[in-house]
Amino acid sequence: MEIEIQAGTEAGVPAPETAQERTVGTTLLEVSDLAVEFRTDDGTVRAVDGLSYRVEAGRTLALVGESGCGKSVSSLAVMGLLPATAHVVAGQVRYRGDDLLAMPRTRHRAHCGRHVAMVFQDALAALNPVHTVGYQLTESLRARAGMSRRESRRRAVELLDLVKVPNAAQRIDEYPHQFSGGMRQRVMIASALAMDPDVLIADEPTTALDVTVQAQVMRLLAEIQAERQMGLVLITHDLGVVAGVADDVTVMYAGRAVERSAVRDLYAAPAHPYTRSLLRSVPRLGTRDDGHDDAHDGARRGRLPVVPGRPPSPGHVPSGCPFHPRCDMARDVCATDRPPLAEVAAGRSSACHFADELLGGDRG
Amino acid sequence: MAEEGPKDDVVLEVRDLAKSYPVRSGVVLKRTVGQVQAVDGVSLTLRRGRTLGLVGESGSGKSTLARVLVGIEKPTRGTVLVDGEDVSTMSRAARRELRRSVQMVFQDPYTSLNPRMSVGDIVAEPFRIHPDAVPAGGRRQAVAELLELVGLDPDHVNRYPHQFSGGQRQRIGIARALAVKPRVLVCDEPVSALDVSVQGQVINLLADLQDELGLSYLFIAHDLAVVRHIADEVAVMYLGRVVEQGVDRDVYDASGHPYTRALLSAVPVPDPAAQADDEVLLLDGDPPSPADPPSGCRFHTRCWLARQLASGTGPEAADAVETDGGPRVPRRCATDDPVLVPLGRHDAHAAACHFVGAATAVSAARRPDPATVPDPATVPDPRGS
Amino acid sequence: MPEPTPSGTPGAAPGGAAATAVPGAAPATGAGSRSLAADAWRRLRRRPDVVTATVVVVFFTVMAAFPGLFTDTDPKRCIIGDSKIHPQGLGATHPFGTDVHGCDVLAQLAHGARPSLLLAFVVVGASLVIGVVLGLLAGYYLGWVDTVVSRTVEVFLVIPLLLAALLLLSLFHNVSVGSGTFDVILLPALVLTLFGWMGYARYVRASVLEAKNLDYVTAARALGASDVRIMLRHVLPNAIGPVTALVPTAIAGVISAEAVLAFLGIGVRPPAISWGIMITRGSEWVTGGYAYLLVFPLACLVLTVLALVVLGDALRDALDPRLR
Repeated sequence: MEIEIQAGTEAGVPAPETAQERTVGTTLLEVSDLAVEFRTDDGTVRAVDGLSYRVEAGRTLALVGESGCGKSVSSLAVMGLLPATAHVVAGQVRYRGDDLLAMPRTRHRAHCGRHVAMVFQDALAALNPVHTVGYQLTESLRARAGMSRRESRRRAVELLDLVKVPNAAQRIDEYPHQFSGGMRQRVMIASALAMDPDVLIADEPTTALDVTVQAQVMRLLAEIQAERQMGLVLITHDLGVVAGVADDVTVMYAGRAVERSAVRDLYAAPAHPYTRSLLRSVPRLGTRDDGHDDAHDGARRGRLPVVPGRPPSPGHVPSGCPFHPRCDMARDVCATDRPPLAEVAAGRSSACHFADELLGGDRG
Repeated sequence: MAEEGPKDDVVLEVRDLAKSYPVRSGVVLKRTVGQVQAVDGVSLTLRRGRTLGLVGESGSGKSTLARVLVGIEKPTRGTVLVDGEDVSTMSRAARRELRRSVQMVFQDPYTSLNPRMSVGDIVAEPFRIHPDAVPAGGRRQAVAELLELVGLDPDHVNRYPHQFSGGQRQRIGIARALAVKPRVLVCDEPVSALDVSVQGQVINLLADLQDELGLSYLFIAHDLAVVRHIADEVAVMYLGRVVEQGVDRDVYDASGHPYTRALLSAVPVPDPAAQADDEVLLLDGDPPSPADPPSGCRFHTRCWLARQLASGTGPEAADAVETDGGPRVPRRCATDDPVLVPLGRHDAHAAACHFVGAATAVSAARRPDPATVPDPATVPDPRGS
Repeated sequence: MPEPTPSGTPGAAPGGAAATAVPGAAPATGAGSRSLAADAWRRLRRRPDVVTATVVVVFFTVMAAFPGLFTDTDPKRCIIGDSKIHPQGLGATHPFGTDVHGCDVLAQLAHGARPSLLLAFVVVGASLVIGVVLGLLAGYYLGWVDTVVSRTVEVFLVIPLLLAALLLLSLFHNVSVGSGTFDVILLPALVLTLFGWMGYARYVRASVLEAKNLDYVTAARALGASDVRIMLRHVLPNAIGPVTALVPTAIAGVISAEAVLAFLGIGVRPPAISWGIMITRGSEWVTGGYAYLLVFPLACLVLTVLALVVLGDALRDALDPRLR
């Protein structure tokens, strides 16, 4: 499979940039101090505030957070796809050293189409219902890579094979509604891979899918990423999915990164109270701490640990540490001083005044 | 499980329920060209104060079943008994009364509330439809009490749904369902649209309401972890059939059906170490169309166990058959439709698989040892230490 | 739109920002609709375009009701010798000039307002009622109701308006109608309504199909709500939106269509005059240096329609609680 794709790339895609080496660890995409604001009736609202992350070849970065935390907005900013009401007010997005945000918007978008691709949550909405899947796959190949009709079709079948759509040669002439949700998401991934991008941003790619199909799609993404040494940015709210595929995790809250850790560190000992609350509130399959015995005597099971309140909306971020109203560790300083994202251990950063305590308490 | 308690303990019973939709074609003169068997012979029992979890992939018929139970759809076959009374043989008026005792909580808190009605009007609507359900204190007071019951500020009656967050909207939906004092709540994926940190709040609310009001829940979800947390019993559906049912511990830790095992193994565990060790029993492709279910065991086209057995050395391998474009599977799987057979320690535990024994053996070998699963909930609180 | 965010904890005090959304609202269920209407009025006032539109609509309404306030000249008094006088400016004998027959343009405009606007509102109102009712029933019940309604819509859509108008004309040929305010527009109102409801029916049907499958409709059904209640309380209010956008342009359409009918003798009955007739007649003289004959009646029509577009928009926004 891989050999075929490589051959296809050499034969058909006159894209010198994509020929650049992707050795593990090369920094492909670097986002620094990104800030995005929305104009609303109530004034400007900062949806992303000083976000930085780095995507390296062959590694997967997970951006984790709940609704309104800015994880999706930040990736739209990277792609140059922000809606008209939003604009980037600060920061840089460097792709292999070139600042994408400094480019004119059309060049930014063209650059992204080729090197940084995106997969969205709702595959049905992202596919045009009146065109066949094949047409939509070949469209960009013809327009961007200047392929002929036959060439682009051959490549499209290859791409569908790559994402394991069965009977690709036949199904290429079908319409999106004839595909199931999982298959549509595969088509979206195929379409994103059409230009052999360096970086793939997947925004909640499996949220709309069944668990069984989710497992298939996540495995497919991981395989493709490992095979091509792409950089993968996985945007999700699901800590279970993250645990399976990510190398690094950035946890976002209220538009900011609150913790940045390698995946094993994060799950073993979260360095921010928000991360800890998130991990605690996920119901688990294996364990049940409820003292609920086999006799089914009607004893009530234990309550789920919950985080009080809810994530703040971008216009109403609390003062100081944005998490302090919901934090079980909050003290006076949290309400007034905003903690910076600082290194708390080797390779780990946390934006908490008491991160040391959190980690230290764990060791002791 | 029938022997366990007195008969009147059962609030909702479903016997051999089926619901099919005709597939029509034609523009002016429509004719029926086929049937989609959304639900095909399902029997369930729900006891007072208990929670029955219903899991399965999309297209398994679990939402159709919910719609039949709350009376939005009429079953094509089978009976629904509420408090032992057959709903289909009742008069219209009696059915309307009975319908009150089974209410529903919806998945999407953004579409389940009419955006043009105030919260007060939404929660009061059940009283307008059933004027005799208004308690003595009057409608206004009842609405305030309901809002308070679900943890909302009663002063917010004049607000509109869009002024609330997802979790609060879900509370409004629960208050509306509780207005007519139902005995059963059918919860169709009630937390899957909510933020992780808010899910727990709603689940805990449902648990509290169950204790306080003695409600019974039919809890439909695709998230097996959530179901495990809240349910006393679990039924697993595949293509319109229940393929396994039993108390939660049996179903989760000693699954008798390869589909249940595969579902459980697909749940992403929030622990990188466990995920690295755990081999996922990937199911190929999507569930087949309910309009044209596979012959024999409906699961055989995707069954990992059938494939294992067919490629093994046992007698099943010798007798294996090629399926239509699919894998080799034991002959029985492709030809005979398995029925639910009781198994295990509790007779309530049953699975519909020809090779229950083999499936259970695999499950037992895979059962996670709770001691090895680190749980962040046990991370000590620095203030406490 | 970021909304005021009251805390999710039970029994939390309302947030400061949230208090502005329901100003001083008493915790009474009935207060909801009252404060919605009051709020709607407050929002309307704050928009200058809405105020302007209101002034325009009031102006033309007054003109339709009391044309004598705007001119002393009798529109029927036409002196052929005074034909085609260019506008002389306010205060002169013919401020807006005269037409080919020597009739005063201002007088005709003022006296043409009533039949034109009355016809437009009657036709659009009646079509709306027919279309909404049929579309609602068809979309809600589907089945044979839908078949009947949809086929009827198609039949009416394929019959050319003019052909049907001629047919009706021959039917009513010998029927004498009076010359009262409604009598002069009776025939065109009948024809235009008969061929004006289909669009509304289709729009409403499509919106109903979408709205009736939403969860809150299912929720009402699960509670045992009657079909009438579901249709009126849940489906229609959320399905009527796209239709209201059609209304202002439909009004313009009716006014100009009437002019066409006038040629067949089933328009506004002479000697009554209408804007539509003035526009049609005026358009013949545009190139000859008499553009004002078209510009004045057209300006009246365009102003009215634009004002209605703005008002309709504002009304829809004001009544939508999601935008509060």
